[in-house]
Amino acid sequence: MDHDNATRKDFLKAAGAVSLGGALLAACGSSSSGSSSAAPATSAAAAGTTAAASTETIKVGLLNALSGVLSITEKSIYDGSMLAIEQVNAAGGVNGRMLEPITEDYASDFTIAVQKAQKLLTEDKVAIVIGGYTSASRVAMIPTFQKNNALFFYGTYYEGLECDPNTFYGGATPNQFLVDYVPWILKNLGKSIYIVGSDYLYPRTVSAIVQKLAKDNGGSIVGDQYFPLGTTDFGSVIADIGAKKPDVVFSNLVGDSTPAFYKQFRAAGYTPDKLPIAATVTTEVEVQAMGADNAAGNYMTSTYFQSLDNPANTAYVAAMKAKYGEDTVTHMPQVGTYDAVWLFANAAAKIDGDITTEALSAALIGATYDENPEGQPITVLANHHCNHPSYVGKANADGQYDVVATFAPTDADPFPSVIVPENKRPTCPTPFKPQ
Amino acid sequence: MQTLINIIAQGLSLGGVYLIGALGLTIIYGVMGVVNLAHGELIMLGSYVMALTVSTVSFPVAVVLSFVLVAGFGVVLDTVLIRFLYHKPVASMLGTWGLAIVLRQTVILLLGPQLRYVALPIAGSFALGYGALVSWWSMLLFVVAMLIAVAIGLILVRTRFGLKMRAVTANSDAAESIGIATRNINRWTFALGCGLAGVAGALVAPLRTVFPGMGLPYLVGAFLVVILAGLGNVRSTVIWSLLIGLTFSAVAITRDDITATIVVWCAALIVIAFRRTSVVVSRV
Repeated sequence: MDHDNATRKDFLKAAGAVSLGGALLAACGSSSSGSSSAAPATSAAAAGTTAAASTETIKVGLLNALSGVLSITEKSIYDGSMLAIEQVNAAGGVNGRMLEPITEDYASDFTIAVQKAQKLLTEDKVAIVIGGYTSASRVAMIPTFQKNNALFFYGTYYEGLECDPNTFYGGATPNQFLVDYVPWILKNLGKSIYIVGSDYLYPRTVSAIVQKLAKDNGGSIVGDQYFPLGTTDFGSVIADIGAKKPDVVFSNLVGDSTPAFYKQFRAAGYTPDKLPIAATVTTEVEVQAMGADNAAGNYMTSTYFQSLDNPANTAYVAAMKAKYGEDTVTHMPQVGTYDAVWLFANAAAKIDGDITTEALSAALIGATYDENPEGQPITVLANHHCNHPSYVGKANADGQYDVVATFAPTDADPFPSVIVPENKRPTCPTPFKPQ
Repeated sequence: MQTLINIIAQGLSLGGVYLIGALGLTIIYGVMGVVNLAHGELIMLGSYVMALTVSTVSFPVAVVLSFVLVAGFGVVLDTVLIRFLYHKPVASMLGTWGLAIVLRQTVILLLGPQLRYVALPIAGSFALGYGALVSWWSMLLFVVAMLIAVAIGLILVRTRFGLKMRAVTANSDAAESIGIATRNINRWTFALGCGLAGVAGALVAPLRTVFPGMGLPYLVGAFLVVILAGLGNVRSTVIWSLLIGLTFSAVAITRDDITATIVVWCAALIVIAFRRTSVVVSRV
């Protein structure tokens, strides 16, 4: 096993060297074509960079916030996409053509995100842009891709209610993680729910769906409260929770609010055996930040946990740790973005000739990646979303989630019937109109 | 009754956080006329000193280290940047805002962007009666904030250093002409303000979230207090901190946090609008 890992690591390093060499030469203006591109990456490395350089690369835009507030999560998302690019190139690239990542940092500022997306499309002429994280970043960038007739692959689970023709969605939609989760909560944790969330699109939409699902399944909502992003004092809502005495707290808090809430909730004397928190955004990253003891015993739903026991995830976690160190945490938006790179590569491999937006968009529908760390092959559906399984995890003392419930993979439905009436459901894909 | 007890308890603990953030800001402005927009980042540095040292030293020692290291860093900052910005409110805002960006990104580059964890030294809560629960740590935070405010008040009124500080605040040129080394007073006042920011960061770290961008909400909160209290006035800083904390928690507990934020800021605007002197100009 150790030997295998060592070999794999060296292999990846060699492949990385090849793609880097290729990137450097391409940047110097070298444009040549035709080569024995089918040669394994290791022998290409042995022969130096010439072989790689003689093949034209496929440029891929990677657009994440690598500085600023959102970099806490987005840096690790970017790490996942870089691993995928390295793996694609190590496996021989796309029909022999290496992927060349063009990295842009939007500094947690959505106006910069729009400028950087424009730059990637018009100056770098990338085949696709992969990245983004918050709904605000996605919504800000989509018009740029519409205007430029270009493609964007968003890798994070989100609130749904979109299926833009220029956008592909690698993460889950609420029908894939809430429809099973809420009845599970009512059955296992209790009937009365208090909802807390950050105050923007995702938590508000998820909250509306949770309220509907709870009422349909015999539960009740005793309170719901929303907080501006960046809120780190929860004294008043914790007092209100104490007064309303729910069976479970449903959390859609995001970012730095999450660890603050869990810590203050525990400090106020609430323990998960009496009043558990059930969350949708408390990934392993937030658990690490609040300390395993403040999370232990609480619940989270996800299409992916670092602890998932399947061969693809074992290989994924090992590869991430080999590349970024033993402390590396893997999580759902990172895996969604990692899958997005592979889905793009597998789609591009189906195309004969130029990778145009039309050809790529058509090839992406039905593109599959078998080694999806979520535990089953992932496929892009006609509505530009993907299929995902879902799990309920219970946080343990080591800062990981133990899977306590598994739900079969479902297809994404961005306009779930639970909140969208039948006559209001559009035919996907349909252009997204910013309001 | 439970609601009332909750409002008071939460209001005081929130007021304590406002107070501890505002104290450093107010003495720095009062003495040297520097509007320090990097104050939130100094609080962030205090939290980082706590996060990085608390596993090797005890919690109280880590608090002292946060004070000493951030105050020491303040001396360096004063020497290379702040002393050029004395009594230039607008220039000092631009300069310290730039400094804030540099500090934030330096921490990201050196220590990484991830959230960090500081364990609560005193876990658990106590009952106040009528079913109201308050965590020990938020009450301790309030007590420490009040003690620090009293200590600063005493330094200003009862010590020679405080006397000189007040002299420099009242008239820097006159103070210098009667032989007070204003340069030293300024430097040590800035260091003291930085050290207080460091302590604030160290004390809030166990309850809040530690990461490079954590400083801004503290800066905004501290500014709200300082604008209402008038810069450089310790007693009214205490009063306004607690008033804001109580108002916020009263609205937040009876309505919700977003309404509370709106109410507090609207109230602040009204108070400022009806006050005769502008905050910044009055000290120049």
